[in-house]
Amino acid sequence: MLDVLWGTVLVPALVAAFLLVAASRATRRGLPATGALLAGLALAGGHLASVLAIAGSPAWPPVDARSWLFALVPTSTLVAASAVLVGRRSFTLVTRISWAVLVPPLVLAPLARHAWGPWQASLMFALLAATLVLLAEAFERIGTAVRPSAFLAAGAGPAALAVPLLVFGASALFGQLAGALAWALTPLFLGSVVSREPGWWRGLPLPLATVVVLMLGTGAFFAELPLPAAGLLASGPLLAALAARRLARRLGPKGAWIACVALALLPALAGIAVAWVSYEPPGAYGY
Amino acid sequence: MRSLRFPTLVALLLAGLTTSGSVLAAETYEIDPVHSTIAFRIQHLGVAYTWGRFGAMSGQAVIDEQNPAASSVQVEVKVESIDTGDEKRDKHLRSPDFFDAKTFPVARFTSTSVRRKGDVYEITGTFELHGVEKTITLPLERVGSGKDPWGGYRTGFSGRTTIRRSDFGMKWGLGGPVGDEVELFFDLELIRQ
Repeated sequence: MLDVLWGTVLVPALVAAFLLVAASRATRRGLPATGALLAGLALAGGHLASVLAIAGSPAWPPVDARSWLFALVPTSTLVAASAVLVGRRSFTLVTRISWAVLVPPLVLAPLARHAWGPWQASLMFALLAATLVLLAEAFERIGTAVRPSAFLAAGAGPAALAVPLLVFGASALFGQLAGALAWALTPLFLGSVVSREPGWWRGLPLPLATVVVLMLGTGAFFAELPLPAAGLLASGPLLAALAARRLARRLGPKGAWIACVALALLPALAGIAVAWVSYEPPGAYGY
Repeated sequence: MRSLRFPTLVALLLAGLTTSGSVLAAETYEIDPVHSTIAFRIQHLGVAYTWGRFGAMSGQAVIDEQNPAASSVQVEVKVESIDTGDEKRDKHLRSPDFFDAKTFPVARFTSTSVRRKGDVYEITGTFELHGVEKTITLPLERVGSGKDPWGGYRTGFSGRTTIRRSDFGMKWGLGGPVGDEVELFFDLELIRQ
């Protein structure tokens, strides 16, 4: 139990908090791209330190979903920081789409090789790529329209709810890693509540979307997580983003904050119900 | 020119005879999956062993009785076919927590050297599991050989070895209820081709 607490809670939270302090200092010195990069690295570092603590060192070169996390998540922070450095909206969108096109074939390569025909593989690549771009855009829109803390809560909440979702989907490891993501996001969320520095969080949407998509994709494609359940969890932040501007106008900052986070969480709860019905938890055999 | 041709011809004939002799001695066998078992057991909670087996396997062996070092064996197991007697546990074992069967659908043993000590063949080879390749030695004892009622010829081997799942990248849950050491049991019936 102590091992689980250490790897899933303390390691991601402490590493992310440490790197976040460095990020805030860089932002204060007027280095927004460096701040965005370090904020992204705080998330990536916290999460990957947890992966190391829970599952040991990954294979290199990457061969499976877990080892791809180590290659893709830090790289996504560089991609996100480069977009912040350039500062153009069109460039950000192009980098996100390019990134999203690159990631699925790498992670889903074993299924494309062993199990899927070219059409099915193309469809699944497109599905995952679209989810990644839409999630990154959704997180950014929530952060801009409401508050950065709303986007981080809209990421951390579903990540926490992904724990039972993935455990029901027969991957306790990725369930733990979802918990670690939620805990890596916690210091970032607290930082966003107290920070008055603008823009430091803009390096976070792409790495966060990458981790979420990798975990849900792994659960759905490599374990037993029902695809509709994964889709429901991913749709929460999308719904919140669609409504964010209208909610901000009608409900004011606090009301919009609460409504956005609720919208992000409700579909995830429905996803847990779907996963529960289609796959009972593995408690009967107790591992 | 003629004086050169005759010795060359003799040498070629001798070489051919030697080669054909070893070809005759080496016989090719296929694994009979219906009468073969690849099983394993692993400690649960440190108090008892839990057993499992793989239902789908295939493989070939070349057995050279006169020159055992020239023998070879290759065995493939479909990881998806794991059966521990509990479907929920099997699903979990196929997931990325353990075998990651969709990423690594096949476990494979390919021999690199064979030594014979009486009825025991010590087969060293590459064991590929979960995307990791390790050299292991598998002692296989000949159980028996003989004609079957359908006109064929069969031989059988039995053996066991121990590996650590952590050596093959299956590190999740170490220190928890599921042990690290895995004992593998092989009972293989082979049909001469």
